[in-house]
Amino acid sequence: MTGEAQNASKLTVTDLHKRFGALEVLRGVDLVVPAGAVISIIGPSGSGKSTLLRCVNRLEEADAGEIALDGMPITRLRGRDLDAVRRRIGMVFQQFNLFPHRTVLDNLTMAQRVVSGVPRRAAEDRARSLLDRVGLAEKAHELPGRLSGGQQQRVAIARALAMDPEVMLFDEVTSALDPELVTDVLDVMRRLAEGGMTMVVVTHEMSFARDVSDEVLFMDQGVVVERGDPATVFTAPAHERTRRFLDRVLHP
Amino acid sequence: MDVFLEQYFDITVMSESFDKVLLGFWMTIQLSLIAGALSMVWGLVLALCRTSRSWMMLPLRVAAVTYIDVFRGIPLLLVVLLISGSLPFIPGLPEWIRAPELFGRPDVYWFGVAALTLTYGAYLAEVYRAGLDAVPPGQTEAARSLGMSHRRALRHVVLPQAVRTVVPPLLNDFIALMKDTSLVQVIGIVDVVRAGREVQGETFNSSALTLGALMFLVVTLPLARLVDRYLRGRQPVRKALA
Ligand SMILES: Nc1ncnc2c1ncn2[C@@H]1O[C@H](COP(=O)(O)OP(=O)(O)O)[C@@H](O)[C@H]1O
Ligand SMILES: [Mg+2]
Repeated sequence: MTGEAQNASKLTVTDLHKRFGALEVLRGVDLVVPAGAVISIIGPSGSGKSTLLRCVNRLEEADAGEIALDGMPITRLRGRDLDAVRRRIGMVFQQFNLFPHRTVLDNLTMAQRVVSGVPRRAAEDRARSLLDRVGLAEKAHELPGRLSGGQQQRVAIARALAMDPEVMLFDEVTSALDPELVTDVLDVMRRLAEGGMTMVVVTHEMSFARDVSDEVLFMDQGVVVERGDPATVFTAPAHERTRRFLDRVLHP
Repeated sequence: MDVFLEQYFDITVMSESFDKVLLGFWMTIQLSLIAGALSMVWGLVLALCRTSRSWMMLPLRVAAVTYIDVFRGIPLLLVVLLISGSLPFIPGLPEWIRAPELFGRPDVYWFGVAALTLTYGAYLAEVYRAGLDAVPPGQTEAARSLGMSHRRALRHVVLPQAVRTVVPPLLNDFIALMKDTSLVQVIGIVDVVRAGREVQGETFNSSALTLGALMFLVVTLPLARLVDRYLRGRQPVRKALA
């Protein structure tokens, strides 16, 4: 990463708070994602990782704090402006959430056509080249239900990429997969990172977090406990809580 | 035994009344198709009002819930009578509501259609609602995260899936609606049941009604089988998705 890219923050989260009823899920989270950087977020289940990503994409409304994309606050956007910002942020879910009633190709063309008004031919060309990139060109006319979990997740990634997003959010995208299907999905994400995509990756795949990310965040109970370059966080964590978590997931 | 057969299955009565009963059945079919189509649209509108989330739609949501509760809670026959026996006598109403004679059909015809639509719209709204609720929230979230507005997500992602899951119950309710069209005979529409009754009154023989029943079965039995096939056909799909 060049120094210049490091200065340009693509996505900035400042002092984010979120509660569900009495439960305080995010208690002042800060996050700076430079353009082209890959940030991995690790942490025990229930620590608020998904909620953080969902707040960034405004699927969940934060109670306090600020989210900015390219320096522009997006926390209070509504209606069309909000839709336009969501288009710039791609999201991939643990459960894929492909549209089961439409073919793989339609899954990739639908939003291009109804949101961006791309003509059918152009949308399909783009969809096919993306399917090719995730190694699923021959599945274009299948229904998602006929694909394996790993294939579905790769389609979901391609679907998000079809909107040409500036940031991609990944929420434990391999957690619902059989172990032997995880590698293909991680390979796609690795290549995406190499291609310069700005990515925030919530994951339990520690080797991916270590090898691919520019920065690793450890979250617990709604706060970022520790952050740093992967080598430091994984080999010499500064906090006891991080150490215990890593101990548990690396040597089960 | 012979007496029984003659009362219900007298071939002579059946053949002599065939044209009249068939004409009545044609009326039944017309009412069913028109009221069926209208209540499918009306039910969907009601369901969308009822399931809307935004606070701006709150009054509409309350109105929809009230409407659905009321019309599911009172007999269709009552609705038929309330419409046909009142609308013509309310002076302030426009002519096309007091005495609708659209497309060359008499006003009672449209009163019947209106009553069936009002009542079945409420039933179908509940069917659609179940279908809408059955679409996982992740579907809307995926659509929204691609930049689709709420309306577009509903139209392209949620509704198509909801409608697919409710085809069998919709068909079941259509069968029920078709049978319930016989209630509109009380306001003077000669449907298949009314036609059969008139023959029964003249001949003291019920075979024309039996004939009417057979005509119903010709339509309702294949529909019921269709529902079965649809439900069976969907099983493997559901397994594949699980
Ligand atoms: N919609 C919701 N309503 C109520 N509680 C929620 C909701 N979503 C998440 N939570 C709670 O918030 C906490 C954090 O959840 P989440 O962000 O999913 O954690 P993680 O992704 O780190 O496992 C959990 O205790 C969870 O039960
Ligand atoms: Mg989670």
